[in-house]
This record gives sequence, structure tokens and C-alpha cells, in this order.
Amino acid sequence: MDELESLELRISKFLRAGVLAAGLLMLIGWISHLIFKGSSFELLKTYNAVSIDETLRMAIADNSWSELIAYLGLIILIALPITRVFLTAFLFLKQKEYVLAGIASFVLIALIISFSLGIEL
Amino acid sequence: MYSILLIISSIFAGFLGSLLGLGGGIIIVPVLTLALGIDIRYAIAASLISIVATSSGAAASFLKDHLTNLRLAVLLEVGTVCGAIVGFLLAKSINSQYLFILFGVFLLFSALMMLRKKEDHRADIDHPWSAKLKLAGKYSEKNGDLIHYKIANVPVGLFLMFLAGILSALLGIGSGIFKVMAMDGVMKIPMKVSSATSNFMIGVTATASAGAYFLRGDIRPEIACPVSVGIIVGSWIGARMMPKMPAATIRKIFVIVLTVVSVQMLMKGFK
Repeated sequence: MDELESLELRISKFLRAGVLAAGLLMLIGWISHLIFKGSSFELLKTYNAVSIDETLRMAIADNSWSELIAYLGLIILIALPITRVFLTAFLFLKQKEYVLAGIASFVLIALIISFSLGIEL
Repeated sequence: MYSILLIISSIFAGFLGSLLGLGGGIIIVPVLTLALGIDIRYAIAASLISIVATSSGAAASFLKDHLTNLRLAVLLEVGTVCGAIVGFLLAKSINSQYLFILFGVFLLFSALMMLRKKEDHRADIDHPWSAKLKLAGKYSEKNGDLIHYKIANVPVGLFLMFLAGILSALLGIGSGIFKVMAMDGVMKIPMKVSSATSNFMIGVTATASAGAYFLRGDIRPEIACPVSVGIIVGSWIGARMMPKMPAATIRKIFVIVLTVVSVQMLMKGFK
């Protein structure tokens, strides 16, 4: 295994730990939400656009920590692949592979642009 | 009751997905919409989150097998992430009836692809882009043979990855079947390398649209959490039971199931 692959393997092991942490938070959040708030399944049968900003503000106002824990798990999960792309770009840069470092940086920027499209202005 | 049904279906989707080499998305979206009556937009968003979880969690094992072409994965992610941006924008304006139809067509396509005979194609000449970025690679077969491979048609492959990204964001799937087909059929990369590299890339593709869906508020923890946890557990069980299961027989049965579900999705779309 070359240096690049072994470093990437270390990143991937870190990602696996991240997935476990996120999964645990999501499980705790979901179960405690079920126990304290009950199932809100019926509400999900029809689409109702509520931005994340509004949802989180409502959860904080209601002191709904179970929902906040679940959202924290989701945020960690979404952040993991972005971290991987960032670290891959850094690895290529360290190995003086400038074109591939540029390509990985482009992917990172495209990810950020994609996320920003979810914010309704 | 619904919650128990949801976690059991997700474990089953993860189990079957890992047994058949498919993502859970292709199974969980029809279950959530047809069996549990959840709106397809919430189902797609939850499915994307579960893909991010399984792909990020399994990346280490793909690398350990020495089959993943890391340099190629980074290049092709340009196509998939740009495609995901377009797919998300399309999903914003598309009627959900069309999503059912598109999903139905994709399921039929996947069923056909599962019947396809897997044989390796080899490129004789390395494409100039591949030569410039040193994308060609090697891997060892189980018998110890070292296989060197070159990469053909890089621009066409990149364009097909763009299409795979659109499908992923629109339908909440990893579109692994489509990615493998592009790498194996068009870029002439050995099947094992294509599958490993596709699996490695899926997480980044799904994150591109999952992040946008999350900020728009479509990823609801009530569905996304049990689905992700269920799929992680299911695929873990599937990977461990794989050697003991008659995968070829399950595959044939699944082709029939996939076709039936596809017809149901199409019927819902045309209603």
C-alpha cells in the first residue's frame, strides 16, 4: 500500500468512528423522541416545507432536546464526507500532486455550493 | 407500530442491499412510499442520509481490499457532485408523480442490469487524461496474479458520472449500478475496481444533495434516524452472512421483486 492509500485508510477509519458516533446520537434522539413526544408519522404523509432554521428554532423554544440530539447526529453524518474530501485535497497537496489537489478542492467547493442551494432566500 | 415497522424494513433493506451489492436506497424508498405511505420527498431525503452513513462507514474496508482507485474516484466525484447539484435543482421543481415514474423506470433498468453477465473489459490504450493524472492502476487477484489496467474514454465516463449524480439527488439512491456500468462498460475498468471505486464515491455524491435537502428541512429525524440506524445494522448483518447465503438464488428472486415494485411505482406515478 502506498503512502497516499495508507493515509486515506486512516481517514476512513476515522470516518467509521464518526458514523458510529452519529448513529448513536440519532438512535438516542429518535428513541427519546418516541418516548416523550410519541410518533409524528401522520405528519409525514404529506409534504410540508419547513426550513431547518425554523425547525431548530422551534425545537429550542420547546426545549425538545431529543430532536436536537437527533439533528446533531445528522449534522455529524453530513459533515463526514466533506471532511474526507478536505483531507484528501490536503493529502494530494502534501504529496505535491497539484492537479489532483485542485480537483479535490473543486469537489469541496461544489459541495459547499450544493449545500447553499438548500437555503431558501 | 409504524416505528417498529420502519426499523424492521430498514434493517431488511440494509441486509438485502449488502447481500446483493446494491445500496439500501433502491429498496427503502419504495418501502417508505408504497408500504408506509410517506411522502416521496421525505423518503428520498431519508434514503440519501442512510447512503451517506453506509458509504462513509464502509470506506475503510473498500480501501483495505486494495481495489479502490483513489485518484480516479476524486476525478469522477467532480461529475457526480455537479450532477447532484443539477438533480437537486430539478427535484425542487418536479411534480412528485414524475418522481414515482422515474423511480419505476430506474428499478426496471436495475433489474435488467442484475441479469447482465459480468465480464471484464480491458482498455488497450490509456486515455491522455488518464496518463496525465496517472489514473491507471493495478490490483492482485486471489490467485496472486497482478493485474495492470488502463483507463479509456475518461471524458465520456465523467459525463456519465454527471448523469449518475442527477439520478442520485432526484431519486435518493447511490446510483451505484449506473456508476459501475459507466466505469466497466465505457472506461473499460475491471469490474472489481469499478465496484470498489463506485462504493467509495457514493457517500460524497449522496452528501452533495443530502446537505441541500437537510438545510431545506426535508430530512426529518423521525424517518432519517431509524432508517439510517436500521440500514447500518442490516448491512452489517448482511456482510457477515454473505458467505453462508445462496446469493445467486436471492439475486434471481430479487429481480422479480424489483420488477413488481417497479410496476407499482409506475402505477402510482400514472394515477
